Amino acid sequence: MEKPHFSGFAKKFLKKHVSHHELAPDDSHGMLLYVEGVTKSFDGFKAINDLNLYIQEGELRCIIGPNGAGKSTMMDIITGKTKPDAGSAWFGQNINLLELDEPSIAQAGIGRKFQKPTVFENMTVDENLELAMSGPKTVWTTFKGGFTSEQIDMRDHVLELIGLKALRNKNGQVLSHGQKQWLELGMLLMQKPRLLLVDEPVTGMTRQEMDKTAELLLSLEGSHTIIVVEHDMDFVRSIARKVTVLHQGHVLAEGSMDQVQSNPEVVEVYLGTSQC
Amino acid sequence: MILIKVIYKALFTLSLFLMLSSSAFALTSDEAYAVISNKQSSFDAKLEAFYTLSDSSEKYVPVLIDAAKNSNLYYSRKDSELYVLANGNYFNVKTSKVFSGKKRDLKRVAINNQIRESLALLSEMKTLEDKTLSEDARIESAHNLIGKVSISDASRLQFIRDTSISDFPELAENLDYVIASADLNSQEPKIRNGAMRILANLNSPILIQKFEDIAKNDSDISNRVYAEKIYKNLSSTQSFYSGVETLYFGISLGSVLVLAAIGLTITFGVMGVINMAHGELMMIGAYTVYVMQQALPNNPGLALLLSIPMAFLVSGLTGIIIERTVIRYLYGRPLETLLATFGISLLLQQGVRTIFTALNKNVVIPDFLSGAIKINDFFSITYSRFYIIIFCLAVFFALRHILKHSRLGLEVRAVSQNRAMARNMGVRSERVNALTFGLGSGIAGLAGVALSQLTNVGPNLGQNYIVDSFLVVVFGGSGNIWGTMVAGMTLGIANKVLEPVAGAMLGKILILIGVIIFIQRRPRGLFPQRGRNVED
Amino acid sequence: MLELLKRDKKGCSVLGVIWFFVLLMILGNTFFEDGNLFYVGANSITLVGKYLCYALLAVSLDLIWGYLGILSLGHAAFFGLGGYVMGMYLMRQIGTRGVYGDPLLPDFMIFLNWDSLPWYWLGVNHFWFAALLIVLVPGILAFIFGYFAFKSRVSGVYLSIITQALTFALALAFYRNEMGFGGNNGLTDFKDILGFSLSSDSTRLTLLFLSALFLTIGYFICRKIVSSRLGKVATAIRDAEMRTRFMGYHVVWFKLAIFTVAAMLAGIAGALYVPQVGIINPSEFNPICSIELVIWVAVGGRASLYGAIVGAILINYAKTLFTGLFPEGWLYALGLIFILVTIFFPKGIIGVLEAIDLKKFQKSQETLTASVENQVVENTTALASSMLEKSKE
Repeated sequence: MEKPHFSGFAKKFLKKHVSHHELAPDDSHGMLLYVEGVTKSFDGFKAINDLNLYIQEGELRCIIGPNGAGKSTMMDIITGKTKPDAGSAWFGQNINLLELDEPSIAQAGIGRKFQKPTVFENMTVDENLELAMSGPKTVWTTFKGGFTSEQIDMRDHVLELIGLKALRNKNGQVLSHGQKQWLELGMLLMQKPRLLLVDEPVTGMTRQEMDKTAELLLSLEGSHTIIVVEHDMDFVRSIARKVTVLHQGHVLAEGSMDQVQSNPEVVEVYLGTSQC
Repeated sequence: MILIKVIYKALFTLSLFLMLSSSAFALTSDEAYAVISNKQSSFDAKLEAFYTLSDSSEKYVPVLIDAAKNSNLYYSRKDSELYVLANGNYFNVKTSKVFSGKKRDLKRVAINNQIRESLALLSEMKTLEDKTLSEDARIESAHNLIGKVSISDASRLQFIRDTSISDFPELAENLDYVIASADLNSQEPKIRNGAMRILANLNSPILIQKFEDIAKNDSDISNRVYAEKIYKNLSSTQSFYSGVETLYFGISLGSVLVLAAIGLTITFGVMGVINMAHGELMMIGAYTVYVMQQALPNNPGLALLLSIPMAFLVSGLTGIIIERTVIRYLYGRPLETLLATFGISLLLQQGVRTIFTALNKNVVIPDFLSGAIKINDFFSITYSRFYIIIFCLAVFFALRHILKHSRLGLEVRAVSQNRAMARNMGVRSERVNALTFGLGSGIAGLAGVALSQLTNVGPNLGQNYIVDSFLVVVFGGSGNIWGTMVAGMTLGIANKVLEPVAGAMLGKILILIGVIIFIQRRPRGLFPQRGRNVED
Repeated sequence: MLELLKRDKKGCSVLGVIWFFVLLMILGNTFFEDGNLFYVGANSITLVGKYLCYALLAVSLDLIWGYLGILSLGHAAFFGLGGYVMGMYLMRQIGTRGVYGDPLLPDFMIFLNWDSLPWYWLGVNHFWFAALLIVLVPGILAFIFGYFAFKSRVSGVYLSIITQALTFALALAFYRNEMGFGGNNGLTDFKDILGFSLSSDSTRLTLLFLSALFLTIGYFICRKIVSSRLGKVATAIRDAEMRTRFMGYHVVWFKLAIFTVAAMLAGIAGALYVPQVGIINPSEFNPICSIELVIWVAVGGRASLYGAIVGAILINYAKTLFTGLFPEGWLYALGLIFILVTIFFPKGIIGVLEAIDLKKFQKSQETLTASVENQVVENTTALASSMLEKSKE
């Protein structure tokens, strides 16, 4: 069925404006993400205060910090949801994240898993994954529909990876909380991101599921760059190579888990209050 | 050329003389009466007849002139008698007897604008000459005559002035102004100049045109310069006061908008309920006034005052019923509340049509709401608008007090910020919801009381205000009564500023477009609600 | 296309019923005389034609409300615009047959002492040009309005209210005589369309046929959209706009494209409506018209497309019936329908019918979920490593 009202002009217009130049981060210096001197305040409250964060290509970085340390706001800034008051954020050497909106940043290769899993409940597991599928995401291409065989392979592969193959035709609403988390991770992988921002991936998971999640994340290390924000210290310890501690919107300490844990300042403001 | 001008002038003077002295010729008062009641008479003849009558001492003359001036004078085709229409009855001018014949035999006495103006002049003259009247009334008449009198009539005034200077100095002073305003037309530059000096400090908008005329065309240069000065003075005063007036009208319209919208701020902003029946709750308030006035037919003012608490109760109770029966099933689904409450609005409208019929009801405007305080000739404060502003402010601050300082207000704020937490802390959110909705609805009822004095009370009253109210709420930022205040006033004033420039309809369209653009730029309004939970 | 038809059995049967009746009416009018039991008169033809236009309008609203989550309270404005363009074309066809007999100017312009045709009336006497404008005018307005609204992320209730303000502003504008669209009275007294007299039965039948045809075409355009990946993206936007954005979709353009298509379909519906009812006036822009339209869709059942058709036809049939029998009662009935449907049947008539199926479905679901849980864990380890290899390539 052709759409008679999409005149050639409209088609061209939509193509021109909806599709955009394929941006790829230039990581020739080995660094994938630069966040420098970023400050953001809400109604006078400084959620982020002169934050500096550098993430290397292929790194798996854990970010911890007490509630209100600015973890979510930092993610919001990297993914374009929030614009900072000052500072800069670059993806590779060439992509200024502050100039792009959320979809463009996502297309450039930054994927985000939200704290609260938001899978599409009225769609099947398959459809959820297909929706996230990397590739051109314009009105016209989605209308024409269809997937290449590579894309279908990719979907099936991820489906197995997250263990939801048996549920592939079931709606998102019938999944358990843990399964939703997995589906969400799967959707993240479907986007083929260079950088994954994973916000509290193991909330609501059993110990067993948690271990498997850790394994999955570790297996992605090297090929992907990953930032994990997590509250669960055991989980962090099980995957962390390098940990960044945020406090009051500022980097308090950075280093291996042992280094960070022995840092008196960190013990004071964070671990001191709740030994976990 | 000069010759022609001279001839014209001579003719003009002659005709003036003829008009003035026409009564000296010919007609008796009975003849004049006959001329007026004859439909064949020309306008000129009628004018002459009116002049004749005005000079006569017949008792019926003031009534007749007054009726003629207001187009209430009728003649009978049967007996050529004149009748005055008053309170739906026709009274014989001479005998004061009520007309008993067929109504189609009565025809209005046709007059033109020239006659109407002359009659107005004549009746003011009569008032001035009538020493039995109070000084204030006579001063009022003198005031009305400024700028409207010809030089020839002025001489008649001069006599009244001279005879009243000792007893009524204020009247005499006002008459001086009238005479001076006539003298502005004098042939003699010096007289014109003297008249201007008398009038220089009299701020009268009527004379602006005249001064402008003199400033441009006077043969005497010093007169031109002097007139120019006064003209500039006057016109700057005029534009100042017309600005003040626009502001005043704007604030009063803004008050109406705030009244209409502020209840909605509570239900929409605080509770997240899109109440499309809000307009109908106002309508109920307005009908309450009507019912109260029917119950107290002899005291419409008292009925109106009593309607204020009554309307609050009636609309508030209706609101609580709506909340308990419909809205409570729909919390958290704003679009659904919109649909369901629209259904309610249809029911309420149709209910009113069934009970009160679809016709507009006549709500009496009590005396204390009509009239105006006159600040000067450029500007006066009409009571109705003034009271609306006061009423709006009273409602606003009462509501603010309730929200800030009462237990209910505290609970309302708690529930609106975090329903689950408030419930955990022992706030009975069911009750709070019902009461909050009742409060918002009650305020809609109060707005209805105000609207009953401004527009037609009918089943469609609510619909006319609902879109405006929503715009005010959204423009101001939902849930913020100060925002509603600022937004309502802004829209009201903008409306009145645009009205003379763009016309009422186009002005309204411009404002709608303006608000649409504004909302698109700042989707959360002027004063957005703060907090984490408002995202998305 | 065939695949699409197979998967949409309910929609096809609804349309099938409509075509059955339309064909019956055509036959009834052509082969039987007045007085015969099977004869179908001009009034019935016009009435059904009107319902079908409303149905197309409702389908277009369901596309944006049901699938994209945009509750427009001003959607009938696009219907009105399409109608006005058609009205202008029909007005120009009157020619010298108007009361004043001016070959160029419609009567109302002569009445206003205008001496020339306003520029925006030029060209509409050509049918092809008018037909183009019927989709372009609503489309362009929707595009511009939508661009600003969606770009600044006005959504939910706020969007509903500004769409209402939009139609209100249009109503005020069209009530003005100076706008050049006949003011209060609108455009009326049409004579013929493409040379065929509007009062003849054959023209009416053709219009009825075209209404059914365009309803079918419009329905399948919408069906194609919602069952394509575009439709999935739209649903994703409806359910979690932010999430969709983070997946790399430029939400603005998706909303804009679908919103514009819906406006164009509404314009077509309006254009078919006007020659059948013989008048277009500013009351079509009254906010209440748009709200009634929302109710048709709500009653029929949102996010199904065919539900909108069912709702539009049933409610309007009920309206015709009620206003004939108890004119007082109609608004009561309408009000009650609004309330009852939103509280008790939020998914409308279609939803009630489908709820019976769903109950069976949910039972089978529960057993499945439990068994899958264990499988997840086992699969992961093995597959994580294969994923690793694959992504390294």
